[in-house]
Amino acid sequence: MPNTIEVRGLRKRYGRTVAVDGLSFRVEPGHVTGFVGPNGAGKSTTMRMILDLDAPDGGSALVGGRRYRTLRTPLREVGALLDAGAVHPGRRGRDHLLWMAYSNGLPRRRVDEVLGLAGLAGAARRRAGGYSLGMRQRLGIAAALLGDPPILMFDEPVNGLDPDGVVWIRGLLRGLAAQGRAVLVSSHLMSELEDTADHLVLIGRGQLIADTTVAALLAAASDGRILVRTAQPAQATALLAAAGATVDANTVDGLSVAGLPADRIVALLAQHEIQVSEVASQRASLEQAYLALTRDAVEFRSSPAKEGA
Amino acid sequence: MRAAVRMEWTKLRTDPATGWCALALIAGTVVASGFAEWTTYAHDCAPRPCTVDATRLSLSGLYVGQIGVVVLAILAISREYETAMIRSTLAAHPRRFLIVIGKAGVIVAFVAVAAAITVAFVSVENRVILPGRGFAQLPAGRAYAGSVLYLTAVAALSLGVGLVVRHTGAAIATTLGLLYVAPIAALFVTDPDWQDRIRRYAPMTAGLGWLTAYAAVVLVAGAVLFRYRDA
Amino acid sequence: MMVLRSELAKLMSLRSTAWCLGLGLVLTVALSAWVVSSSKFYGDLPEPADRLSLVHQPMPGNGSIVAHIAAQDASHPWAKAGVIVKRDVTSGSPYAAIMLTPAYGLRLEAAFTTSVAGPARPWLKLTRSGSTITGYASSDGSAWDEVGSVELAGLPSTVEVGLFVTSPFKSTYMQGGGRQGALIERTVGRAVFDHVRVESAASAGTWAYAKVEPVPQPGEPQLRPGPGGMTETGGAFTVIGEGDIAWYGIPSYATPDVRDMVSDSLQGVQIGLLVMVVLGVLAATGEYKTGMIRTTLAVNPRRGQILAAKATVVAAMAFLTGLAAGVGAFLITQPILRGRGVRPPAYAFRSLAEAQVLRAVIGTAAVLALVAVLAFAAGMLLRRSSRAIPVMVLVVLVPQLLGPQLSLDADKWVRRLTPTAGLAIQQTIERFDTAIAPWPGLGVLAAYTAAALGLALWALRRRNA
Repeated sequence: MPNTIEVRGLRKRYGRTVAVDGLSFRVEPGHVTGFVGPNGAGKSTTMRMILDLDAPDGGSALVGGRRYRTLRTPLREVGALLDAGAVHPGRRGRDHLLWMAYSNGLPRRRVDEVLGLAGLAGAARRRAGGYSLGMRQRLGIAAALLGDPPILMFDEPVNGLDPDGVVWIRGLLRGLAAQGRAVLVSSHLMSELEDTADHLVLIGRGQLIADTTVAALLAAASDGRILVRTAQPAQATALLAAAGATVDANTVDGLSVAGLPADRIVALLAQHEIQVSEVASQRASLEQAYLALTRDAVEFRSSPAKEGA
Repeated sequence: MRAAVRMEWTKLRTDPATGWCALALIAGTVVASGFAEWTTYAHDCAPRPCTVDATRLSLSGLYVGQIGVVVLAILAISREYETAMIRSTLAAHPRRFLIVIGKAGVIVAFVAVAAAITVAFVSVENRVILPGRGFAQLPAGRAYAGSVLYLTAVAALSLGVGLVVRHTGAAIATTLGLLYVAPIAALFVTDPDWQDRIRRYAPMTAGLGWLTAYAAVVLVAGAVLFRYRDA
Repeated sequence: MMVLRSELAKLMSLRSTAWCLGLGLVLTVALSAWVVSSSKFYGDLPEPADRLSLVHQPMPGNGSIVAHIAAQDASHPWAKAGVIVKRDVTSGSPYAAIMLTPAYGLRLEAAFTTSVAGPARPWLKLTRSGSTITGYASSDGSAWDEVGSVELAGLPSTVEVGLFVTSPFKSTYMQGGGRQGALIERTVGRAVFDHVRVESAASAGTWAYAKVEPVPQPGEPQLRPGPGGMTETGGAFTVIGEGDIAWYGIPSYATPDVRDMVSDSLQGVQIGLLVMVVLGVLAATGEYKTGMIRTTLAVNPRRGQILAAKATVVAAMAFLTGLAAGVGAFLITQPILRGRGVRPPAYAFRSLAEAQVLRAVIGTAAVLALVAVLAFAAGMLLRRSSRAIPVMVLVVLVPQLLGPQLSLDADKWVRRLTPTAGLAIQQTIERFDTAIAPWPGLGVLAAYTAAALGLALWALRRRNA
């Protein structure tokens, strides 16, 4: 109970736009939960409502079974990184964490501890206005860790981090989850979460699309298809189709074949002397699965360029 | 409560703007009062009932200095909104009324100290310049104490406006407008009854009782909005 | 130019712009209306009354009085010495007079309301014919130039003619510590007349001296007896007198503290100034706050052009709004003033068709535009509204409040040297507290604005975005 985030029937509108529409999900401790959806899906709004920054129009959001604003020392229960840019540029990084520490009765040395954890010990005494995007991100992460909370929420933590930083964050998040904490990470890029998250909450247009594990999602999307790359796709397609397989010839990587095992495909094509350069199990990427699921939920989509334009 | 006060005090003292505003208050008041005293002699308005009021003359520097107080109090809240740091504040400390009380308390205390330093300097100025200008009587200690209270009330009023308006430029302009426009308009009103009325109710000239009341009303309104609005 | 269009689009899409322009218009007009409604003007006009030293004799029927002014003390710019035809020797009775003044030359004045200027000659003549009185001046006593003539209805057949001397009270205005006062001193006028003769059918009478003074109303304080007297030596009359013969319409009646109705009608500008400051500052700081300045400069790296375009757009918006506000304020305030007793003869009806009023109204719009651009330059220089707005308030509003605390001279210098000098463009009367003439005042503000823009351009070119 103490380490969960529970959202039930959450609803919020801004003017005429419905940002969150009857959202329900749980974040359990011990693994990293990815909170994914296209831009404008309602992820940030949901997180703000969990933190009682914005008042929901309906439903509830509880942390550890309680409303956020009833927590006496919230930083010790929930650590959140919402917006890395939300620092006063004139203030020094260390002072930014210092006031937060004092607000929850945390000791000064804890500030230096988390600065070390976030890799900012050297830059702590510089004005936050001079921080790079990555440094500000680390400052926000340090703020989230200040109270050593059992529940953590990160909104787009990988934004602006260089590859080193991305690897570091991944390790950090998994490590925190392994310690038994509940970790919610939101992103609009599935690829970021592929190696980080174990559980996924997909939302689109303010509504829940899927609440599942990464493995299950991948499995459902992969569907046991085989990828065949050949110099003569047309003949191969005809051949395999005649043999009873369903062939999707429109993927960019080659032919996507379902219904026949790999060795049978190779044998069939070799028989007719069709050159094959690759036969592989098609591992659907999380990206594709995600795109497929959210196809209808995307608010902002660029129109494809006109043919022959 | 202690946590809110410690948090707000840390925020206030680690913001470089705070120091600059305090400097503006002190330097601005001292220079403006000095200029006023330097250029005005007691006999400059001798025919009765016009006698140059030494107290008003010596404290006229506040017209300049109080701008520093207004900016200080407003920045303390509006910058949080501008940088979205208000979300960190509210996430760290969701009890919103306590935040307002903490901010107000810390700002008022700081301004009181800065104001005391200011009037100390002004009193020295008075002692040095006024006698040479023909003023027999120096302003009384009551005037200095009153100025300190005045400035703290202005700080509270400004914080209230900042909580309501939330945008730095608009809040500063609104507060300065509330303070300065009525007295300037009074200069052009020829009905002595109306001039008197303006003097009695305009925030800057109304006296501590009314000013404190205005500040309290605006501050409470701001606190309520702060509590119930989205971040 | 493309740049102008893009900057105009940018400014108009800012929500703050619409607020500023709308609020500016409404509040300026409202404040103007409120200021005049809260003003009190002369309810009942005082009856015309004159105070003079008169050397007179009765003249039955038509005739003339001639005199040569040998000397006149310059006791006051409006001291008067001359010849007069008056119904009788009571204060307030109708008259016609031709006179010399130390500072304003020759005047023909009559009936408390008419004043005509003429060539300054030392020989003066007044001729009465029925109810028409004609004034003449000459440099030698023989060739007379007609200055003008007036009709005085209801004159009896016998009127008093003679020499008169007046010298008005002198007011010295003072201020300090937020109070104002006037020191009122009597001045003593003295003139020497010779070659005095009365040309009339009847025989000449004897000269008598009279000190004409108004009877004090019950409750009014009585003045101490003032200077007066006449001595005659060998046909030359030396007359000493004080006071004045004047009422509304006579220039000497206007005291230096008379209200400037036109500029009083336009004082809503005070809040307009604040609103335009916000408009100008936000037009500049908006780009810095959001970092959009980088986009702007990437789209068009010619920084001078960008600055000029932004400034032009701000100025145009502020001017148009200010013009609408000024016209609106003037049109609304005139009926209010009329309702509160501001009418002839005390005050003339003013209309937008007059050059002076047009100058004041259009000038007010110009001041608002210049202040908006000055604020814009301050915003580009200081890059934060929390710095630029206080600085602008400091130079545009605070001097007007600090001024009354200072001595009159110091106050005038403050209002000459700060951007508030621009408000002088609204003046139509010169008062005791007038610091600077209208156009030079606007020039001071324009100079500040130009300098600030120059500084902003230099900074913009030098700085990283």
